[in-house]
Amino acid sequence: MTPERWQCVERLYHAALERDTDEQAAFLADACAGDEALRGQVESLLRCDARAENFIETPALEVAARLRAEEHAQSKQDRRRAAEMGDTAPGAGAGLASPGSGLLSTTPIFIGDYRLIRKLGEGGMGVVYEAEQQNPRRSVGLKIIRGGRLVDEYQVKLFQREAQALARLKHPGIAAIYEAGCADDGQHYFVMELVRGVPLLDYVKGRRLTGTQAPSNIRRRLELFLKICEAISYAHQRGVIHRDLKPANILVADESYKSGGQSLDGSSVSRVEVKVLDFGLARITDEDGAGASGLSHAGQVRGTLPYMSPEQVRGDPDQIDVRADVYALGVILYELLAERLPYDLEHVTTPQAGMRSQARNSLL
Amino acid sequence: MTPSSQEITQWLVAWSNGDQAALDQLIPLVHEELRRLAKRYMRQERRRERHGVTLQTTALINEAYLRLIDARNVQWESRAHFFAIAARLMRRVLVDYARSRNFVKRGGAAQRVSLEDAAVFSASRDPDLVALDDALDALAKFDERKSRVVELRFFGGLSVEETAHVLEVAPETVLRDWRLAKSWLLHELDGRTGYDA
Repeated sequence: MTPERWQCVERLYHAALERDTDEQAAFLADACAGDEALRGQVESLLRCDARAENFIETPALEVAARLRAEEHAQSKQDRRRAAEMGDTAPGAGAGLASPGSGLLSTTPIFIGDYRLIRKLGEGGMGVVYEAEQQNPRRSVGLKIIRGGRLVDEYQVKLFQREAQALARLKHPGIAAIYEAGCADDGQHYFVMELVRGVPLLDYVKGRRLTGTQAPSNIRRRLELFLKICEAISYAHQRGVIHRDLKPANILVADESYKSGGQSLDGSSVSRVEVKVLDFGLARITDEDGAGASGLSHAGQVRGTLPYMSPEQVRGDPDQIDVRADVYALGVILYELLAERLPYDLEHVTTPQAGMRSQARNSLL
Repeated sequence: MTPSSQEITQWLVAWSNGDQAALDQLIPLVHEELRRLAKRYMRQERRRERHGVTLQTTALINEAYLRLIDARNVQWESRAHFFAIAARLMRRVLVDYARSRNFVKRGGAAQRVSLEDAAVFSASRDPDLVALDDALDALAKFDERKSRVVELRFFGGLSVEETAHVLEVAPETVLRDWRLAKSWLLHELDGRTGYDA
C-alpha cells in the first residue's frame, strides 16, 4: 500500500461512515468511479469496522496479565494431573512440558488407544484432552470423567449403554461421541469429535451481532438458534436428552473466520456451523452417584442454575424429560436476544431457586 | 525492594537514550505487575465461578499502568517524550512475554475455554500480541502516525487526550486514526492468523 493510495482509502472510509449503512454502497460505487480494487479495500475495512468495536480496547497490559493468569492456572492443573496420573512428585520434573503450553510430556501418556496430546480444559464433569487415536489415526477430544473410579459394575454397564446410544447420534449440529471406555486404572472416559469453535455468547458478542435493534442481527441470531433447535430436536427423536444445555456447551464454528484476508466479503450465516457438546452426558455422569438427584452431597446444584428447568432444580430425576431441554432453549433464546438472563439468580441460593420455580409453576 | 517512581522514570529516560542496562531494570518491573494482576484475576475468577460476579478490571489495570508510568515527576515539556518511551517499553516487554510463552499455535486460546469444560479450540477474544506487533510494523510503513496511535493507546494505556498531546494533534484526529487503524489491523490479523484456532 502506497501512502497516496492509503490516503484515498482513508478519505473514502471516513466519508462512507458518515452515511447511513444502506447508502454506503451507492456512495462508494460513485466515488470510486470504476476502481474496483479501491472499492474492495474500503468495503472490507468497513465490514471490519463493525467487528472492531471492542478490538484492542482492552489495554495490552491486561491481555498479557490474562495470559499470565492462564499460565498459573495451567501449571497448577498440570501438577495436579501429573500427581493423579502417578507421575513423579509435583514440581520435581513432573513429566509435563513447560507450564502454560498445555502440552504434555514427550513421554507418551496413553489412555486406551489414545495418546494424550494436551489438556484443553477442565470443568465440573472432568478433564478434557486433545488426544490422538492410533487406529484410525485422527485427533479427538478425550474427556476423563471425574470420580470415575467410584463407580460400581452395574453403573459401568449403564454408563456404557448410554454411551452407545449417544454414539449413534449423527448430526452436523452435535459433537459426535466415538467411544466410551474405562482406563486400566478404572477411570472412565469419553472420546468425542474435536470441535473447533467459539462458545455461543462469545461468538455473537465477538462478531458483533450486537445492537439488537438491527433486524439483520436479530435474524442471524435466530438462524443460529434454529440450528441449535434442529440438533436438539434430532436427538430428542432418538430418545436422548441433553440435560445441561447452556451457551458454553454450544460452539459456533465460522468458516468465514478461516480463509484469510479475502474472507471478509459476505460472511454469510450459511457458512456458520453450530455444535452442541456433551449431549446426554449429564445423565451418564449422574449415574456415577454424585448427583442423580440434581444435588450433590455438598448440597450444590449440578448443572447450571439459570438454564435449569423447575423440575431439574427440584431434583426429581424421574420428572426430567425433553421439556428440560426445551426450557433451557427458551433461556438461551432469551439471552441471545436480550443479552441477559431472564431471571436474576446471582444472589439466589438453591432452596430459593426451588421455591421460585414452584412459584413459577403455580402461575402456569 | 520496590523502586520509587522517580527511579522508574530515570530508567525509562536512560533507556530512551540508548542505555540497555536500564532496560534490564525495567523488564522485571513489568513482569512483577503482570504477576500481581494475574493473581488478582485468578482470585476474581474463582469468585466469578462461585457467585457469577463479572470481573471489574479497569481500576486494577489503571493502577498498574500508573505504577509503571507515573508522569507526575516528569516536567510538562518532557511528558510527551516520556509517554512515548513508556509505551514503547510496554510494547517491547509485553510482546516478548507473549512470544516467550511459546504458544503451540492455538494453545492459549484453548485454555481460555478450559473453564467452560469444552473439548474445543476457541478463537480467543484477546488479540495475539505477537501478530499485532508485526501488523503494527506493517502499518507504520505507510502510516506512521496511526501505528503510533495504537502503540500509545493499546500498549501504553494512554487516553485519547494524552495520545493527542504526545502526537501534537487534535483528539478528534486520534479518534479517527484509532478507528481506521483498528479496522485495518483486524483485517490484517484475520488474514494472518485466520481462524486463530
